[in-house]
Order: sequence, then C-alpha cells, then structure tokens
Amino acid sequence: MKTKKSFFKNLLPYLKPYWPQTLGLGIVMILVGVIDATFALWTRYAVDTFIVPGTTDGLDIFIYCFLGLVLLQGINVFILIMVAGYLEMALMYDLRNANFAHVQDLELDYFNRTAGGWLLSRITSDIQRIGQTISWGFVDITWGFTTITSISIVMFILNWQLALITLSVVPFLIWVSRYFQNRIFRSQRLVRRTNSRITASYNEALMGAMTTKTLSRENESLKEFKHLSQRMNRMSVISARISALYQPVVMVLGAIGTALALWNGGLRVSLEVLTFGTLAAFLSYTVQLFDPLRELARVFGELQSARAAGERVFTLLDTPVEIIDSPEIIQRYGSVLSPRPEHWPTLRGSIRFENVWFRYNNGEQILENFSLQIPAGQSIALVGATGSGKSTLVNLICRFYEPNEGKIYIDDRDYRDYGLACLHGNLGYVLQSPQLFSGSIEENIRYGKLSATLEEIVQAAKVANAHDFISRLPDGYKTQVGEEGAKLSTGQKQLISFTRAILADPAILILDEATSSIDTESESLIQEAIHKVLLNRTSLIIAHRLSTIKDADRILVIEKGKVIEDGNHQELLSFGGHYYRLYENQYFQEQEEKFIAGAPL
Amino acid sequence: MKKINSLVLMYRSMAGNTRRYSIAILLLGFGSILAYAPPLLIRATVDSIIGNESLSIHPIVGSIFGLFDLSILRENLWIPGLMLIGSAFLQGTMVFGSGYLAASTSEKSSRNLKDQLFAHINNLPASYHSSAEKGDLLQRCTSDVDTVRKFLALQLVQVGNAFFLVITSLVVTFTVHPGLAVIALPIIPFSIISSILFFGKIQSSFKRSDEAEAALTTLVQEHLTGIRVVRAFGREAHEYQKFGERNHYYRQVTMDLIRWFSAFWASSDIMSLTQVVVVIGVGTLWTVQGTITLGTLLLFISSVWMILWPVRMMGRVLVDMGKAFVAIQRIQGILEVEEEDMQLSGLERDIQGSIRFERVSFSYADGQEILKEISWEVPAGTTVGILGPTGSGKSTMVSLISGLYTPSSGAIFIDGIHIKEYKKECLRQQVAMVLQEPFLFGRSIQQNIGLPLGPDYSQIEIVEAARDANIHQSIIEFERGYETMVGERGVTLSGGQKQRVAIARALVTKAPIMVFDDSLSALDTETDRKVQEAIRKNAQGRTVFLISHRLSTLSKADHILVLQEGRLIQQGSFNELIAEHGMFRRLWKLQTAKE
Repeated sequence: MKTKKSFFKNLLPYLKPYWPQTLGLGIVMILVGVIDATFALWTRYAVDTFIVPGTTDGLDIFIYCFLGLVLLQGINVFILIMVAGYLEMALMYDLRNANFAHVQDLELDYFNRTAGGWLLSRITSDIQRIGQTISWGFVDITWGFTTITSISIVMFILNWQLALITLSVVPFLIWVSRYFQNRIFRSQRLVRRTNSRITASYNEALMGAMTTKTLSRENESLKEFKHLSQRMNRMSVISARISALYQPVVMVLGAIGTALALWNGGLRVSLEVLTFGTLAAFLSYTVQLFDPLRELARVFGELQSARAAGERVFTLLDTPVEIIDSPEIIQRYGSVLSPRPEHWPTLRGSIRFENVWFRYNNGEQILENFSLQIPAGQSIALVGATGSGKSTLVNLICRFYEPNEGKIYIDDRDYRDYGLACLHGNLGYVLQSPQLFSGSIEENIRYGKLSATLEEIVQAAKVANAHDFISRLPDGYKTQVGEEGAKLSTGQKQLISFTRAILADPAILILDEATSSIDTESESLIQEAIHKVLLNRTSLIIAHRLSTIKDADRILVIEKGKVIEDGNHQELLSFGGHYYRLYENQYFQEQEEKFIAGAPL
Repeated sequence: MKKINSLVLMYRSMAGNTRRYSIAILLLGFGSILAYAPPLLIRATVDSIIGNESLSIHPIVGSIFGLFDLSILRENLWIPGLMLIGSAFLQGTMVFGSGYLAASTSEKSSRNLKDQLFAHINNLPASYHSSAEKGDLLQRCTSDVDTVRKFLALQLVQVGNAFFLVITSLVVTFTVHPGLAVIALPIIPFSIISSILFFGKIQSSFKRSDEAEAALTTLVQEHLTGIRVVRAFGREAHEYQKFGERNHYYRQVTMDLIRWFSAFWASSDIMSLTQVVVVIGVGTLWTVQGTITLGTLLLFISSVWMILWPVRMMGRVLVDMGKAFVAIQRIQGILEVEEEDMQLSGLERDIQGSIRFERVSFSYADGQEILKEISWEVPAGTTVGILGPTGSGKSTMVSLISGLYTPSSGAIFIDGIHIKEYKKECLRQQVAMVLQEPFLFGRSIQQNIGLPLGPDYSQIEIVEAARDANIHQSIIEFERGYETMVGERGVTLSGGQKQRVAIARALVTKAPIMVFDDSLSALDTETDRKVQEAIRKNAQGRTVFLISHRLSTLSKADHILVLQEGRLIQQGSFNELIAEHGMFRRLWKLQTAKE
C-alpha cells in the first residue's frame, strides 16, 4: 500500500506541467460520455414524434441535428485521441530524459553492479508502459467514472430506495474485482518469470550452440526446454482461466443487480408506490451501469502492472549518486550535464597519491596507505599480475572510484576540487577493447574534441597512423562503423580509438593496452602511434607489450597493491628482480608468437 | 506468394486445434448475440407483465413468457429476474468458454512453436551457428512468437466474431427486409475498404516510429556498453544531447502516427454513426409511409448497433494481423534452414582412437578455402600437437573430427571406419572438445562439469576432474563451492577460470579422443604447466589433440602437425621436426637461444 502511494506521488511532478491538457482531456471525455448516452434517446424520439403520430413533419430537421451531433462526436474523438496521445508521448519523453540524465550522474561502479539489460528495459519498455497506461488509463477512468456517476445520480433521483437495492451488488463487485485483479497480477508475475527463463534458455542455446553440439546434448537440452515450455504453458493457462472468468462473473453480478431492481420495482409498481414509466426508465439505466464498472476494473488491473513498471523506473531515478561534486564546484566548473569549460584551469598533469586506502564494495582491500608521485609529462608503465591493483590505480585517477582514506592531488590540488566535468575533460582514455559508437568514423574521432574541424581530425588520424586505412575505405572518414563499430576490424577500431585520444590532447592519458593479438600490420602501426602519443604527456599505461613498457619513462611493478619495483627499463633490468624475470619470459613468448605469425613458407 | 506461405504456416501452427478455435469463435458469437437478451427480457417484462401491453410485440421473449400464466408471473416477479440472471449466466459461460479456449489453445500453439524452434536451433549445423546473428534470432524466438500467440488468442477470435456477427445480421436483415438491408449495411464494405486503405497509407509512418524507437534503444545500449569512454572523455552532456534529440524525434514521428489515428478513428466513428442516422431516418420515413412495421425498424436499429463495434474493431485487427504475418515470416525464416544430418541410423561402437585424414579439403559455403588436401594418420593413444599461425585452419581441422563440419572432399577415418558411417551422437560423445572460447551454461559449476555424464554423475568424478584442471581450489573458495551458479544469475568467471572448467568438463568424460583447441591461452605459465601435466596424466591410452602456440606444450607431443594457410607443411615427432629444415626447427632454435 505504501509503495502504491509513493509511485503516484513520484509521478505527480511529471504530470503537473500538463494539467491544462489533462483538464481538457477530462472535459472532452465527459462530453463523449454524455453524447454516447443520448444516442438511445434519439431512437425513442423518432418513434414518439414521427412514427406514433404517423407524420414526417420536422424529420429533416431531426436528421440534420442528429448529423450535427455525430459530427461533434467525431471531433471529440479526434481531440480525445490527439490529446491522450500527446500526454502519453510527453510523459514518456520527460521520464526518459530524466532517467537518462540520472544515469549520467551515477558512478561507474553502478554499471559494474547492474546488468545493462536491466537498465535498458527501465529506460525503454517500462517507461513506455507507464506512458501508455497513465494516459489511456486516465481516459478510461474518466469515462467510467463519468458514466457511473451520472447514471447513479439519475437512478437516485428516480427512486432512491430502488437505487440502493440495485447498487447493493457494487460492494461485491469491488470485492470480486480486487480478488481477481490480485490473482491475475500474481499469476501474470509467475508467467513473466517463467518467460524470462525461456528467453534465457534460447539465449544459451544460441550462444552455446557449438558446446551443445560437441557435448552431444541436443536432445537433453530440448528435454529441459520442453519441461520449461510445459511449465510456461501450465502457468499461462492458469492465468488465462482466471482472466477469462473475471468478465463473466461481473456480468452475472450485474444481472443480479438488474434482477433485484426488476423484482423489487415490479412489487413497488403493483403496490402503486412507483409509476410504471419510472420503472421502465430506471431499468434501462441499470443495464448501462455495469459495463463501465467492468471497464474500470480492467483499467485498475492495468494500473497495477504499470505500478510495477513505475516502481522499477523510480528505483533507478532514486538511486543515490555516490560520487558527486559539491555545489560550489558545480557552480564554478559546471556539472557533467552542463559543463562550463571556459572556467576550467589548464592542467599540466602531475599526480600525487598521498596515503591512499581503497577497498571495493565487496570488501576486497586493494590499497593500503599507498603513496606515489608522478611528475607532469612522465609516461608510466604499470606492470603486474591480474588483481595486483593496476586497474584500481587507473580507476582512482579517473575518479571512477574515490579513495576511502587519503587524498589524490593533481597539480598539487585535491583532485575533487576540479569537479568531475573538468577532470574528465582533461583525461584521455584508450580502452583495452576499443569502444566505438554507431555513426561515421569522423563522428567517432570527433568524440575526443567536439569542436574539431575535419582538418584537425585528419591531422590526428595521421599522427595515430589511422589516416591511411581510413582514406582507403570507399567512404573515407564518412564510413559508417556500424553498431559498436562492428563493421571494422579490431585493429582498425584500436587505431580510431587512438586517434580519438590524440585529438582530445589530454593532460593525462590512460592507456589500457590490448592483450589479444591483432594482425601484424595494425600491430606495428599501433606501436608507432603509442610511441608518438606518449611523448611529453602524463600517461599511465596498463602495459602488456614489451615495446610499450620499454618506451615508458618509468616502470612500476605492482604486486598486491604495492609498488615493488620502480625505475626505467635499464635500471630494472640491472636490478635483476621481478621485472627481469618477467621481461625474459615475455620476451621469448613474444618472439615465438611473432615467429609463428610471420613465418615464411 | 510469401503471404500465402505465411498463411500456411500460421494455419500449421494452429494444426490440430482448428476445431477448438472454431468453437471459441462460435461461442463468442453466440455470447455477443445473447448480450441482447437482458434488454429484451427487461422490455418484455416491463411492457407486458408489469404493464398491460400484449405479449405479441415481443416475439421471442413473449413466446417464452407465454408458457406461463401471466398472473403467476405478475405475482412472482423473481421468475423473470431469475431468467435475466440465467441468460447472463449463459452468456457469461460462453464468453468464458470462448476466452479460455482461445487463450489456452493459443498457448498450446505457441508452445509447439517454441519447442519446434528450440529443437531446430539445436539441430542446425555448426556452419549456420558460426555466422548467425544471435540477437536477431533471439528476437524471433521470443517476441515474434509472442506476437503470433497474441494474434491467435485475441485477434483471430475477434475476426471470427466479426464475421459471425456480420453474416448473422446479413441473413437476418435480408430475410426480414432486403430493401432496408441495402440501406443498413454499406458500413461493412466501407469500413473494411477504408481500413485497408488507411493502414496501407500509414505503413511508412509506422515504420518511421518503429525505427525511431529502435534508434533510441540502440543509443542507450551503446551508451551503456561504452560508458567508460563516455565518462573518461567527460561526454555526458554530449550524450544527453544526442539522446534528447532521438527522444524528441521519436516523439515527433509517433505524434504523426497518433494524428493519423485520431483522423482514422474520428472519421470511422462519423461513418458508423452516420449509418445509424441513415437507418433511423429512412426507417422512420418508411414506417410512417407504412412500408415497414415498427418492429422491423427496431430490429434494424439494433442490428446496426450490433455490427458497428466489431466492424470498427476491424481496423485494429488488420494492423495486428499485419504484424503477426511479419512475425510468422521471420519465424519461418529459421525453420526453413535445413537441419544437420545427425546420421541417426549410423554405427554405434566404442572408439579406440586411431585417426586418418585422407586428402581432406574444406571450404565454406562462400567458397573460401580453409583446408587443402590434408593427409595424416595417428594410431590410437597418440598425443598430437598442432601448430600454426592464426587462420591456418587448425580449429577447423579438429572440428572435422567430431563431424561439426563436413569435408568438401577427402575422407576421415576413425578406427579405420569412415566417419560418415558413425552415428554423430556416438562420435561426439567419444570426442571430448574444449573450444577456443568455452561456453558455460547458466547452472552450477558442478552441473556444468557433470554435463557430459548425464543426470547421474558422482561428486567424486567431478572433483577429480576439477583438481586435474587446476580449478578445484578456486571453486571451493567461492561461497557456495561447487553449487556456485555460473553466468548472469551467478558469479562471473574470468577467461582462465572458464577455460579450466571447460577442461574439467572434457576430462570428466574419459573419452578416447580429446581435443584442446588453444584451451590454455588465458592461463599464466604456472597454471598452464600444472594443467598440462594433468592432461598428460589423463592422456594415457587416449588420442589427444593439443593446439598451442607454445613450444613447451608441443615438445611433449608424440606427433606434431604444422599448418600454414590451410596446408600441412610439416609433420613428425618433435625430434624429427627439429632435425628437418623448416619452420619448426627455426622456432626451436629461437627457443634454445633463450636457455
């Protein structure tokens, strides 16, 4: 009950700007209901005025009036659908914008914890459901209430005792409706849950098709699936039975109400406390009463499911933002959604960790009292096993996470004082698996600097060794890369991702080097590009390739959150420790791989 | 032609259930007609029982009331009351029967379709899967099937009902008064034609709205996968603006659609109501002139009202029908692909493990040649190392052994018997493969390892295999140990962990032939060494294939195959190969230079 309130309360601010439309819609709806109700009267009028006296005088006027009313109703319907559709779209539009904006504020860790599919369906299908149900539900509810209220009023005016007797079934009707809506809601939930398991099964069958074949499990997995589809069938049939039963039950209850009126009204007529005409009129209204009631019950049922969708959407909107700038900083440098780059200081890029402690939310302690100083312009290669803390250092510098204790300084100022927008505006990041967005190559490169001209883009591409392959493509820089860059090879994506970072010309560059081997040609181009990019720039490289490591000004060997060796390539080699062994191993492995890949016949 | 095909498929998906659908339609039709019983009953009661009109003005109800003595009815008004409830009950039963029948039958149809699709997907050849667009296929198996189900459950019955009512009123009105019928029924063709015209016209609007929605979804999806890039470049504002634009565009094109719809519904309402006006107007005129009786007029007016709703529904049903046809075509697209020949009547026997390739070539359907005339032979119990650059055909060659692909020419023999002679199930159960990118199913680790053993595996076998694959320690460190769920609803394993679970899954089979397709690549040197030892221990008496880049791995093999660009360029024992001039020797020299 409490949650129900909170959903509608949450929704209210989104409805508020549209109160004039909502009001207008209500009025049109009432008009539609009233006109609908008069249609029965027109037949009676025709019978009474023309047929019974046997005259056609005024029949033409009658028909013109009638046609006028029809036209009016048509206009009403037009307005009704337009306005309801407008409300639906407006609500969806606003909710989507609000959700997407909120997603921008959430810290990166949230996306590691939350499945992308979950977020996606919040922003797409759940919001759609809210929009549809709220706007069209409003139409149906207004219509239902208008009809019910006006009929009830007329019934009470005609004869209040009889009205009470007829309406005595309404409490039962409400009770039955609640019961059914609950049952339907619950059984639907079971159906949906089973359905999501079916989807997961299909997904597995598709993704693991080869494995299924090699294990020769086709029949077994089909057996398991049939189990599931049978369960789904059973659940759906149960749900269908309840849903199918609901409408007839309401019909019978309605008929009972009408029968009560007929029986009691007839008695009253024979006792002469009620006139014959009143009873006839009264009864014709009772018949019309129960249809809207049933309709209302259906809409309330749908509202239930919209409520479930709404709760999910507002859960997302209410997710607290963990990494946030103070209002003063937002005032000065802008927020991520409305940055004010004109006020940003120019960063040189020196970084200092001072007694930093950090652990992940799962309790894994990564850094303990960690300190490190990186002068501006130095390139740092981070070397160490998986889980040693290399990525954590990078994540902290990007402020994707914040230290639990201790401080990080950039240009000798607490890096939180720059605000997220300014910090990220001065960062460049090249990911291990290059991430592109659908659109042209040019657009993807421009992501690094939105104001860049085509000349600048070409210039950057030349520096990154990407220009040659791009200009060989039939559409050059206008080539569409496809969804997530699917139309390009990994090596090509890598080069574009470099170009993007070069164009951004950031004070601090983060480079997560790819482990997977790519074709030899791109490989050497990328090595060259890396070399150029690192020159005179503060950069941190999670390095896997020896040539990159050797190129760096300084190498940090990290183990269990500590820097165990620190120096350049020559120094560390002559030190003869961890790095020396690592280098040796790696060297021969790379030689082998190179050899196999490039072996002549 | 395509339309006809999909009609056939639609019909087939209802197969065996057409009678149930017909009953559902008939029940709904009778139910709709019965809906007129309560008003008639009430009117007759008021007019003739409470009032003093003659029963004869109410033809049907009157004759029922005629069975009673009117005075008794007058004294006991509960009798017509009960009749009212009874008729509602009857109508309710029919509506329930129809709804339930249609829903449960459509569930059955959709279940059949789902099972059929699932079985078909499992049985599609490997070559299909390797190039399939999985997201699209998933869409077809789930939401397209659901579109068809909804059509069968809701719209089909509606269409049937509309037909039933239209035909009933045609028959009734034409028998009663053909002249008035001609006046009363033009709405039917009008409405159908205008619906078809209208929905032909807004197809493009529909498509635009759909595409705009898809574009919006794609943007969010890409945004979520690329969130690190967005954040690191501080492009939140830019993304928000892009999102806002697409959000706005979607709203704009959908409003176009809504405008069309308002126009359609408004005009169709005007048309329908005008039909009522025409009937009332002309009917009144004719009644006054004495051409028809009042009873006939009232009958006609109620007939018009009765068919208006289903006729107006027609437009909506047409849209959904179009969608259902598209959906069924997409489903058909999967079902039409030919299944893999599982050689069901083939040989079933215990394999020893000797293998011979005789001038085997393989090319993909697009003509790309992967393997060229490869010949080699190994006796049972050999450990075979395979070496070669990326794209040289190593994986394809080992896939041929378990019949995942079929050679374009040449022949493969296992234990001297052509693999075409084997039942494929038999072959694959005895060739344990660990794929380059191993796939784990969304169930517990224990179940994943135990998959090849069927339902009655022993815990000991699994732990043993896990130990050998050097994953036991990692598993028991999980909170739930071997019961830990893998995948979306459980833990995410690292690449190396996945590989080792897959290795355990292969080791547990104790199959006579085992294939490890570059399965140790994600392991660090130390783990790699341990797992290799375990594999060697298990290799006793088995034929084992090891694809590897690492010389250290290959040095332990009895026989080594060196592939390049789809050709077998060298083969022999380790010692033979280092004595021979060629790629292997040069590689080995490089290796020894290290020591």
